[in-house]
Parts: sequence; C-alpha cells; structure tokens
Amino acid sequence: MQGHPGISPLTWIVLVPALTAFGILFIPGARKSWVRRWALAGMSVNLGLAVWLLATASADLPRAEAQKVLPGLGQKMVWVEELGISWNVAADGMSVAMVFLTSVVIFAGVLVSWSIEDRAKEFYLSLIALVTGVFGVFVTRDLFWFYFFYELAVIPMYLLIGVWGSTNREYATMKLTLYLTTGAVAALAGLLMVYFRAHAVLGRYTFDLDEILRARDAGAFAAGPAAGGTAFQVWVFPFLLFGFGAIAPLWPLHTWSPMGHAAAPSAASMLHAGVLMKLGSYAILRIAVPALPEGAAWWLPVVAVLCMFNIVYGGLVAVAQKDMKFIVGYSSSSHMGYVLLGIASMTSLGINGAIFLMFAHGVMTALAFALIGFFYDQTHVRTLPDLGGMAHQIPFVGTAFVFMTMASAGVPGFANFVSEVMVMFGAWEGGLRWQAVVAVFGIVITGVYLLRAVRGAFFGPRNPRWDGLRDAATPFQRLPFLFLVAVLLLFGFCPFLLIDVIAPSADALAGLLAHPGRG
Amino acid sequence: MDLFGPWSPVALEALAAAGAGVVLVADAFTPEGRKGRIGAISVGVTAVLALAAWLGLDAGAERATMFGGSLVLDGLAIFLKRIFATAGLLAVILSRQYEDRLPRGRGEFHFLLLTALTGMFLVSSVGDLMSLFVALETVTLSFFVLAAFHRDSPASVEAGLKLLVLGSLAAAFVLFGSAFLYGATGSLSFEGIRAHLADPRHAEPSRDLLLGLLLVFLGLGFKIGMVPMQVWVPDVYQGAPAPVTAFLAVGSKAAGFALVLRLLTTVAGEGTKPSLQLLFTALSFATLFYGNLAAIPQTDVKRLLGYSSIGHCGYLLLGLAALGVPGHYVEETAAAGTASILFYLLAYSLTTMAAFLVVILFSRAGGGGALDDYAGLSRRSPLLAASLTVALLSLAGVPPLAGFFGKFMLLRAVSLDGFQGAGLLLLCAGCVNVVIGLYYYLCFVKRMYIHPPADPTPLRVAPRTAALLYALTAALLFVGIWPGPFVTLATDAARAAFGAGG
Repeated sequence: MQGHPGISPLTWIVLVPALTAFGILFIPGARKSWVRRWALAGMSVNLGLAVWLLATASADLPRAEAQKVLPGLGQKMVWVEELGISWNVAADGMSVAMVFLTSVVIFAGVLVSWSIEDRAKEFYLSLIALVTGVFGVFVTRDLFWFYFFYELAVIPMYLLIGVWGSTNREYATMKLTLYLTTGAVAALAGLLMVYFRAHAVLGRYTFDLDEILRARDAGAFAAGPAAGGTAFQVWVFPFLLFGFGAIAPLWPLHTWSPMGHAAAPSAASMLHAGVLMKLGSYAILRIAVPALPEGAAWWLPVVAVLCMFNIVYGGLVAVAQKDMKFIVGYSSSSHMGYVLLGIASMTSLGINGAIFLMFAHGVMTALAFALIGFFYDQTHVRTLPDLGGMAHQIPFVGTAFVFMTMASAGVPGFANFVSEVMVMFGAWEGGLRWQAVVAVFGIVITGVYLLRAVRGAFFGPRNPRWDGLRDAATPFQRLPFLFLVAVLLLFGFCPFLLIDVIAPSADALAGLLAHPGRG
Repeated sequence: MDLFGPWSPVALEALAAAGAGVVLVADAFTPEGRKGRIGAISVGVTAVLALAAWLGLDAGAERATMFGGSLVLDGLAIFLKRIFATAGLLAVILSRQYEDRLPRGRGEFHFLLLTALTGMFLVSSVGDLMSLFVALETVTLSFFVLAAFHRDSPASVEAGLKLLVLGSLAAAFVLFGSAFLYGATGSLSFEGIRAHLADPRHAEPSRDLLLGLLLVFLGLGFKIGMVPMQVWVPDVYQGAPAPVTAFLAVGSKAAGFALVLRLLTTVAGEGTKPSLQLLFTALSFATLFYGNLAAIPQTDVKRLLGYSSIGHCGYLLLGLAALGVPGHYVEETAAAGTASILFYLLAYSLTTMAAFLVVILFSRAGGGGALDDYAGLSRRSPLLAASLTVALLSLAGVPPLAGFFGKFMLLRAVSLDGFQGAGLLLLCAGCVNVVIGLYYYLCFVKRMYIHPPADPTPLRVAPRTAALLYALTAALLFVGIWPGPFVTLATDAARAAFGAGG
C-alpha cells in the first residue's frame, strides 16, 4: 500500500456509506425508525468527513501540488494485479467540492424521506447503495473503479423510482436505466481504448489515471501507426463525451431526465438532479479532457453548440410544462447546459464556474425537489392549474420555494449567481460570444418559468382545498430546507470558500486545453 | 498436499464414482420413509469432493498424466474441477430442497447427479479424443435421465427426449469430427496432434483438419448452447426438474467449454488462427444476439433463464474469439481469453445456483413457474425477492456482483488487439447486449418489486434455507468486490494450459 498510512479518510468516504448500507441489512424490516436513524447517523458521519475534507483542503492550499489539493490523503493498493486494477483514491479541489455536494444532498435526502413507510428498509438500502457509488466516483483515480461506482450509482435508481415513484414510473425508470447504462457501456468502450493505447507506451496494463496521464505525456494518444496525428483522440473522445454526456444530460440525450425526475420520490429526485447528473460533467472533466486533450479541443466546440439547445430548448419546454416536477426537471437540463458551456469555453474562468455551478445547482435543485415532494405528499397533485394560493396554508414551504426560485434565477447572494456569471464571462473570454449572449437570455427564460411556478402554486387567492395542508412546523422538519438554503447563501456570499479549492484543478484543465498538443 | 500422489489425475473421479456407489448401495438398504438420509449422504460426498478439489489439489504442481496421456491433470483441469465440485455441491443442496417433489427414486436421482459430476471431472482432464467422447457421454447420459425424471410429466419426458436425440446428434458430430482429425493428423491424443501441427511441413492446416475441428466444435456447441446448436436449451430448461436445470446450466456449459479450451490449447497455432477467429467471431456475435433478444418476450422463468443462458454462452464465446487476436496469438491474448472464460464460468455457476435456489424455494412454497407468478414477491418474502434480484443483477453484469467482473474481463480480453479487426465489433456487440440483458432482467425485477402481488400471503423461509441464501448472496458480492484471488487462479490456469501447448 502506498500513500496515507492506515485507511485514508478518502477511503472512509466510500466505506462509511457502504457499511451503513451493510448495517441496514441486519435491521429488521419492521423497525423502520431504526433504519432511518442508522441511515441518518451514517450520512452525518460522511457530512462531517466532507466538511473536514473541505477545511483541510483550504488549509492545504499553499502547499497544493498541481491538480492534487490533498496529496497526503491519497492511497493506492493493488487490487487485481493481472489487469492492472488498484484501489486508488485521491482528491483534488473538484473531488472535494463534489464530495461535499453529495454529502449535503444525501443528508437532506435522508431527512426528507423520513415519511416513507412502504418498505423503508429497502428504500434506504437502495438510497445508500446509490450514494456509495456516487462517493466512489468522486474519489477514485482508477478507471476500473470509476466505471464500477458509476454503474453502481445508476442501478439502485431503478428500484427507487420504480417502487417508490409516481407518475408513469415503470416507463420512466426503465427508460432512465437503459439510457444511462447505454451511456455507461459506450464510455466503457472508450475507457478500454484509452487503457490499451496507454499499455502500448507503458508496457504494462494499468487503469491508474495518473499513469495513463503519464502515458499521454509520453505521446501514447498523440499519433498511432494506424491513425495519424490527433485521429485517435478525435475518434475516441466522443465515446467518453456522449457516454458520460448521457447522464449530464447533454442535448439530445436528455429525454430520460425530466421524466425520471418527475417519477422519482423526493430523495431520489434530489440525488438524481442534484448529484447524479454531475457525474457526467465530472467524468468529462476528470477523465475525458485530461486523457484526451486534443480530442477535447476538437469536440468541445460541438458541445458549445449542443449546450445552447440545453439552455434554450430546455428552458422553453419548461415554460410549457404544467407539472411542477417537470418544470424543475427541464430546468435542470437547462442549467446543466450552463455547466457544459463553462466546460466548452476551455478557459480557467469558465471551468471554475462550471464546477462551482455543478455544486450550486446540485444544492438548489435538491431544495426544489425536496419542497415539491413535501407538499406533493399531502396534495397528491402537482400540476399548476390544480394548485394555487398554498402560501396561505404553508408559508414556510412557500418562502423556501421563493428562495429556491431566486437562487435558480441567478439572483445575487446565492451561489448560483456567482457561478453563472463566471460561466458567462468565461464563455465570452473563450470566444463563445454569441453563446454567452444567448446564455444571458437563458436566465430570462428561467425567470419566466420559475416565477410562473411560484405564482401558480403558492400565490393567488386562498384555495380552501388546501386548508388541511400541514406546513413544515417542527425544527426537525424544517432542518433539511434550512440547511440547503443556508448552504446556498453561505457559498453565495463567500464563494471563495469553494472557488479557492476548485481553482487549482480548473486552472490545470484550462492550461491543458490551451495547449492540447503539448504532451 | 497432492491428493493420491501419482494417482492424482483420477483422484476426484474415483472419489466421485465411489460416492455414487455408496449412494446407490445405501439406497438399497434404506427403508422407504427414511430416504431423506440418501440426500444427506450425497451432500456429504459432494462436500468432501469440493474440499478435496479446493484444498487437496495443488494448482501449482507439475502437469501429471495417466493412462498414456488419456487423462491430464494441469492447472486448467484443477480450476475446472473446482468449478464442477462447487457446482455439484450446490446442485445436491438444491436437490435436497426439491426432494419432496420427486415422485420416486430419490436414491437414483442423487446417484445420477454424482455420475454426472464424475463425468464432469473426467471432462476437465481429457487428454485424447477418445476420452473426450467417453467423458462427454458420461455427462450427457446422466443428464438425459435426470431431465426426464418426472416421467409422468409430458414436459419432463419431452426434455429428456430432446436431450437424448439432439445430444446423440451432437455426439455424432463430435465422433465424425474426431475421425477427420485422426485422419488429418494420424493421432488421437492431443499431444500427437500438437506434435503433428508443430512440424513446419504442416504449417498450413489441411482442409480435413479444419473440417474436423469445425465438426467437433459444433458438437461441443450443443453442450454450451451455442447458436446454431441451441434449439434444445429452452425446452429442456423448462421441462427438467429445477435442480437438474441448474446443474445442467452450469455443468453442461462448463463441460463444453472445458473441452473446447482443451482442444484449442492443442490446435491453436498460426496456421489455424484465421479460420478459428472467423468461426468464433461469427458464432459469438450470433449467439449473443439470439440469446438475449429471444429472452425478451419470455413469460416462463426457467425458459427465460434458458434463453439468457444462450446469451451467456455468447459472452463466453467472446473469450474464444479473443484467441484469434492478430500478432500475439498464443501467449497473451489466449491466456487472457481463457482466464476470462474460467472466471466467468465460476461467477456464472454461483449466480445460476443462487437464482435456481430461489426458483425452487418459490415453487416449493406453491408458486408457479410463470414470471407473473412472481409479482409482488418483495411484499411476500423480502428475502427471496432480494436474493433473486441480486442473482439476476449478477447475471446482467451489474457491479458490485460477480457477474459484472466476469463480463468486464471478457470485454477487456476481446478488445486486446487494440481495436483492429473484429475486436471492436465484438466489444460493441458485448456492450449492446449488456443493455439488452439488463432490460429483460429488470423486467423480472420489476414484477417482484413494483407489481402488486395477486396473493399477498407472506412466504416463510426456513432459517437454514435463509442462511444458504445469505451465503450465496455473500459469495456473489465477495467475488464481485474482491475478484483478485480468483483472477490469479484463473490466469495461472490459463497460462499453464497454453504454456504446455507452446
């Protein structure tokens, strides 16, 4: 074993949810409150670990190596020698930010699922198994484990939506699972191509990302006997781009997403829109761009066009929706367009903004789905014409929803504002001028559909049909909402807390993209 | 420790045959009413065999031969024997859960399971074409009686008959092919054939040799459920008693692949390479798509598993197609392909046994065999539903389960050529079929978890059976998360086999 002595905190980030899920197996299914408390305990530990990681990363900044904020925490251990697989964890700023996002969302997700009574044990088991996969993706630096955890994060969603979901759940969940698995196997094909090509230079098989990047520097992906120039990269990059892009979701591969969000139970929607979609953009930034920078330089301009469809088309479709969850679902794919635009800008500012937006949007959209889930549990409808005037009965939820709307629409003071501005400036700086202009108008569309949703659901005359609604009254019920709003405001007012940590990885990526052929 | 010293190549076979004899004799002296004892003896025998296979045989030992090279014990044989011994133990345990549904002849049932196991042990060690045929028929004959064991049930009799008739046809293919091979090389023993091919004068393979190989492979293709020899699979799977189906699924497939691998280590060479690669590429492509696509509309559980087993045969054939990679024929890719096949067979055995255990327990509790009968199982018995789901997901190749790593190894092996030629095509075919497979397995999961039960009475699982389910599920997780030791065993076995072949 190399690196951190004993079990690194980064390994614990994966082990804690895995053990939490394992422990749930031994709790009798009838003891639902034990299951919930055990899940909450495990996820609190992970939240604590994530906060500690973020704090350590900030403190470590002056000593940071390029790309690796926390060199002391890395850990490597041979797993399957014959295939070159190792248990290899390390974190840079981007990983830390995503781990933090995941712990925030799952912590709130466990809390808002408290009311689930039907097969609670299986529910929490699937939820925690899913999040184990997500944490794994964010800390591993081995391509095998990356795929392993990626697939592990996709499959439990099938049960979460299928069993505990609503509208059209059977169709939605099958579509989602098959879309994402198709993307995953396409990405696997791309990963294997990179793996074999790296072998030709290194002389041994390895899934270790760091070694593969060394192979890139040695020219493994630059030119081959079969393909001249950058052809290999240009040819392989789309496997990774569209494979991982399916979950991002890159237009036109997004159609599973609003439907899946609408069908999923609250916690699953929160994780899905909040975290799972980020796996795609994370994977592009973590693997595809560093390993194949020339391919990235060739394909990212295409992404810069496709993400316009995300932003504008997604936004316009959201305007036309009546179902609250569909509105937020389409808005998610619209917002992920900004993330992709930031990546496509290939500038330090844009990539910084993209990573920060991944975080901010994750928290914001988790809040949105948590709130919708809260009233939907009671109203059993969530189409705008049926709702209305609910702020009279549930003022706390209404207020929190307005906060969410402001965050989503990019009102200053929220983390989303900072990150979206960075993305737009980055896009302009990167020469994507007309995209930057369209992106600004995209914000207007966001304002239109969200304000429409707020007006339609919460304002207007008092509707006696909703007199029986219970607001989030106890501190325990309010905790997840207050927590998420607080995180949005904290990083809106103090964005440097996160940006300083992210910046080294984003700068390194931008540097690589500026001179893709350097290796 | 080397079991039986110089007799090690027949040690397990002898033990298994002796065990079969003990069961038969004990059956004669056991009064009607006390027949449960026979099953216990059978479990004891197979447990000893499994222990002997895993602990008593030294995989690193020198290659040993007996009867003038008719039987061989090398790393490949030992790994296969371990798979067979494990599968045999599980099959007997599964049969214990099924015994009360056997109309008559429990003793014979266990006797036949043990003779089939003896045949499988022989299969892993064959050293010439004659012993190949004898070993193969020992397995097939046991199975055709076992498949027809419910002799009052038309489906079961039909299964047995199909196995017999089509199996005989396959045997004829093997014999005919062997004759061609003998004619082309002048030898029945694998050593002799290898020596003949190593002679530079025979670098270009003769037409007779290729024809013989094709016929033998087609005959063996019957055992593994390969297109175009797959027609018997769904009917036999559906008609045979469930524990027999489970043992057949695992044993027949592993036995067939054992023989194909044996033969390939013999004839693999630069001369035969292009033909073999073309053959296995086409066969794996066809088998993958046929099995997985035909599984989609199935409504019967055993039939679904039958078609899916054809799909799994397609994946395993990917490992054989990897043998034909240009450039480095015998050394690296052949070993990688073989190792993947061996690992996949191990994972597939565990997974299939786990799935069939649930099928048996469910039918024992009064459930039907149609997919729709499983509706709402997760409300009736969370344990059964969860165990079956884990087994199905392992078959589908989802992490962190054993089946995932098997598929991963195969897909890696098939693309070892760096994506020139057929590698890319097969990799894409494999990937597409992962998605197709996931679809129909999830449709099954959907019934158990999402659909409401027609009859909501809870199903009880006895604590001992529950422990068995836990153990199998844990094994699937263990092999999936920590495959290292098994990969090492499989790789060593593969390298030994191809090292000996040169």
